[in-house]
Amino acid sequence: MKLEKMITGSRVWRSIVRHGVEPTNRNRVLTVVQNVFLHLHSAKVRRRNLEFSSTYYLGAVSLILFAILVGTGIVLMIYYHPSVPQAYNDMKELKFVVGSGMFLRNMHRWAAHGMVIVVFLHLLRVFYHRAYKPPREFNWVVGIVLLLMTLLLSYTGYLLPWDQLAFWAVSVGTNMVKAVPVLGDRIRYLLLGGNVVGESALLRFYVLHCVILPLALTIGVGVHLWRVRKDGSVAGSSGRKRG
Amino acid sequence: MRKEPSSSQELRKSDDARGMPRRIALVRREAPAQLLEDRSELVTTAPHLLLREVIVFQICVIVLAIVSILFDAPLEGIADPEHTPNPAKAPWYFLGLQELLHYFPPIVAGVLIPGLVVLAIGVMPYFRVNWESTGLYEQPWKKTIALVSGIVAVSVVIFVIFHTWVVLVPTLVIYGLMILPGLPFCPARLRGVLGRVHLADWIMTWFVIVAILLTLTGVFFRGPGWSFVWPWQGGTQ
Amino acid sequence: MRNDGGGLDRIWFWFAAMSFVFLVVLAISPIKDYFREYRKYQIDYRDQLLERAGTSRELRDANREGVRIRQIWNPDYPNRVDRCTSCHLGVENPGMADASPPLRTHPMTPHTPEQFASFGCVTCHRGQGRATTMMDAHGLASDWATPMLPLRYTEASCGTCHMDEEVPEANLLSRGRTLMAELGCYACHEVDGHEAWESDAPDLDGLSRKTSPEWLRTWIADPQSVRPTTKMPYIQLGQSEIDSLVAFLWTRPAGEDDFLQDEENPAGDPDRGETLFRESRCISCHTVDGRGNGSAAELSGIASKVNRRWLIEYLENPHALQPETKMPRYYFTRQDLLDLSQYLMDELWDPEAPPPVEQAFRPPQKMVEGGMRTFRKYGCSGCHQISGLTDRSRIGPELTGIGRKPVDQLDFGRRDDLPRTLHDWIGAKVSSPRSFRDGLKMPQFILEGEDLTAVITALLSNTGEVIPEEYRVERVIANYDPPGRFGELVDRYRCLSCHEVEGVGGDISTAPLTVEGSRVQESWLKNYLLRPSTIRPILTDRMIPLRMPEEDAAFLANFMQNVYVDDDIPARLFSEEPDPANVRRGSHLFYERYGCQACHMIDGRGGYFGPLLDEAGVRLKPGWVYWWVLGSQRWRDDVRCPDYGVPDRDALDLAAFISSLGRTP
Repeated sequence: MKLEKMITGSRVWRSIVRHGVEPTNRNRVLTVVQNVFLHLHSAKVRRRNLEFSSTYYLGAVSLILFAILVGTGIVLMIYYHPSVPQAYNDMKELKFVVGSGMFLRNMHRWAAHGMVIVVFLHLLRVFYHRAYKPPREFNWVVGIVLLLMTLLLSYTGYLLPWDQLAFWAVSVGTNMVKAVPVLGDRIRYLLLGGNVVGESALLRFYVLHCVILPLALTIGVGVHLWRVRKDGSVAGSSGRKRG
Repeated sequence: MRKEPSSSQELRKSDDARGMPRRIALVRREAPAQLLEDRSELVTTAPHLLLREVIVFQICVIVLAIVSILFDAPLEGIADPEHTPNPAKAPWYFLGLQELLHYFPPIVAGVLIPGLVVLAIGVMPYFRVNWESTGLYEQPWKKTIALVSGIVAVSVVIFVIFHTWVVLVPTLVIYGLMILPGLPFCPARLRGVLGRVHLADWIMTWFVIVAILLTLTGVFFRGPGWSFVWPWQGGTQ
Repeated sequence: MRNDGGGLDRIWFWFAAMSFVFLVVLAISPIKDYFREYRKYQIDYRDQLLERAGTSRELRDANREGVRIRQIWNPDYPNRVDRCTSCHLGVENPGMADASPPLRTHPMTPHTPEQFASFGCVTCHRGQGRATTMMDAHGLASDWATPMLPLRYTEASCGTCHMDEEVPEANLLSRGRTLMAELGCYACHEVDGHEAWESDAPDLDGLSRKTSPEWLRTWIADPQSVRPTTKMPYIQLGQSEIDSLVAFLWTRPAGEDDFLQDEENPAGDPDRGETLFRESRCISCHTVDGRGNGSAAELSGIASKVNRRWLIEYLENPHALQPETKMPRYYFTRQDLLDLSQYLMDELWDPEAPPPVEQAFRPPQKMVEGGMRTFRKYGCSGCHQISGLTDRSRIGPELTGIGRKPVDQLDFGRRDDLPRTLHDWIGAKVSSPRSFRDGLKMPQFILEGEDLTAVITALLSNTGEVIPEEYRVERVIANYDPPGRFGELVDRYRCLSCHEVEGVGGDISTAPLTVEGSRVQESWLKNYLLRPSTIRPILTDRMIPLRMPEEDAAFLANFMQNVYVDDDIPARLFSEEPDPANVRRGSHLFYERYGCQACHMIDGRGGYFGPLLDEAGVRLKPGWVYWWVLGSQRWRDDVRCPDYGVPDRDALDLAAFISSLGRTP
């Protein structure tokens, strides 16, 4: 306790955290309001919205999975070369040499699959709770865009191990693009950097997966959360209850 | 009891997390209805929400870590453009589409259907879909049912022509449940439950079930040449 | 926390509990990493090193061995890293010869231990070099296409760099490759580097002049039952296919089966024929009841196969009927032909062969067409030439790269009994090709035991890999095609069927002719060509008397004398007749010092392992004898004459002695 006081009373501590540490309401509010990372939250929330059945924490889980994906993804980038056949060899190195490399790759992979599922469930929850009603209709649209970006992120990441599974999944997927009238072949060419899935496709998918899409998704999530605040916090199962 | 804040003084220190300053709001007649009924108790975000968020984060990591320790991410042989695996499958979340591609021409299955679905879901809030939250049978329903029946009849013909049994069966089941409350022999209790479900929910539920069934078929029941196989027969890779 | 309500205490408790689980779960993976599979081997290795350490330096080195990944990396193969030595720690340590695997020393091979650093492990053994766990490294996990080769097939890996048919120190591989060429695998299967393969199966034109439909039927049904030594495989045809095939063959060209009535050729004298058969040394190539060299066809039963008129024509000039045959053209007189054929027809018939039907065989056109389809379907034209069928496309799948084919790309058909490995699949494909599915066309070869292993090894060696230039040992396709009249004579007498010149030709004769001009004297050579004499009594295959005209012999002897020379071998060793004293000293050296009579016979005394030296003075050139004595292995590395390290002076005297033998002074 004495040590705690020494730390929290020190000048350094006080320069970082300006509010007191006693569990008073004022300090609790300031904790959120004065913290750049937390201030997307409102200072207070309705107890009913904390209930599990209100949101099932699906939005939170989506964001957490995205954070895990960014974290593990950045570490994986250190060991990865977007070139043929080094990309595949890097998968082997992760498994056989890199400390916890396989664990990292597993986390990334399963979190990615999980995120696709959870984001979809999040959409269903919002739909069945009628949480898209005004003033939240635009945030619903943002959410749909985020879902599509999640799918694209997962899909671009699918190619990166450069194994048979990746190669043919992406070949099949990009062949679907061909069906788009007029522009189909051009979109596919733009996506793959060629007419077949090859090294330039790998590089493009890598840049999309590691830079462009995560950046876009981060901004999109920022907008999404901001709108949640501005549109009056999460809309739990209020609509149903009233009916 | 709540402490009364005073505007002339500093806010008093309070140790009650449920404490709430009194507010004055001007409520106009056409204001959104939600404001009227948000009477739930307010608590401070820290620690009530933050703690829960941290716990959810921890649970996420724990579950993922356990899964990651138990199951390795798949890795097959190095990509080889010369040897096409049979069947070549897209990632699982696109297998519903790939399954559709098996039934319909690419322009329909690959472009039209997914495009329309995304569009429909995207613009839905702007068309006053189900704002009132009244059930299908809690309003004049005969016209609606007739319209839906017509659409279902046309769809069934299309599904039969293209042998799309995976879509046909859930369509008929959902349609059956939907018209059930309108039928004279429907038990009252069932009518009470089903009758409250709104048309939009029927459609969404139908869509979700069809999407899940298509995806499951694509993941587990498709073998060489996209032929039907049982999951234990191998073939899926 | 005071007065927070809403079960905040419970939430704090969950937070604490989850934090604990969170930390525990995240610790599992690093702990697993620490106890990797190779750890126990590395600790074991260090213990064994400590145990064996004799000096303090060794002890210090052993103590320094920590647990770490060890690897062999060759910059020529940037994508290959072999970490096998992380468990197989003792491979380069000769002191670990008595250790148990995986710590044991690697056995000596042509490339180890010298080239461990550049070859690594996977080059020869396959498997997954990057892996650090046993299952993965040995390639047993399903994601790895090339699992470790079983040790009995390891020679296959020699063949990824050594493209030659004969690979030194890889007997199994060499044997397999030779077998593949002999059995005619390349007739149906395309394989990189073997496009030029040529069949030595006979042309099938004019069969109706040669044999009988009955014999053909028996033969096609199962060639090996008629002649066990034949290279023709068992095609497994149905009766109707056989009948139509015979009909087709019979009509190429049609209507020449009046050979049964042979009025032109009167009977000969079989006794004289037998003498001719012996004198002509037919069994230097052919066998009779299995006796003989075996490089040409078995002759017992020949009388049941061919008719006499064809036989006479063939003996008169084999090249006219079968341009690709290895048989030389003898100069037989008409009477010789009559007698020889009479002997063959009287003696060498097969009691089990069906009796020829005395009627002309005139198959219906439909049957002939059916036969042509059968001929095409089974790819007969891969080996046999026949008029009217010019397309000699190969009917089997290409085999380039077969040795690295991933198991999941193999069609096991109904062979559920086979282990899912490439070598088992190849083995079954080669030994019972039709067992996989109905409708397959590959014929049945007789391949058992070591021959089977050899062929599997040869097939496994065909990986189609691109090996860096400096590692490749290219296949040398020797070519020797002498020009002019000499060339014509060499072709006529088919010298290259038995003799080797510049790496081309048969190896029935022990004497390559490449330096024949430096070796023997012209006059002797001419006489030898006319009347061959025995040089090596131990051998059954001897030079055949070709009955060539004297001018041919003189020309051949003169040509070889001038062209088949090696400048390293002194052409004229002595400017004048050697001093009798040197001859005497040479004789002394021959008998007393080096004991050459143990193998060489002179005047009926001595061993018979080496060549007779009775006439050595007129046969061999002194320069050759001198060069030979100074190091006979320079000529052929399998020469058994020991290298005594003879000093120059002794060599000169021995040459003087030997060149005096058989000469009348």
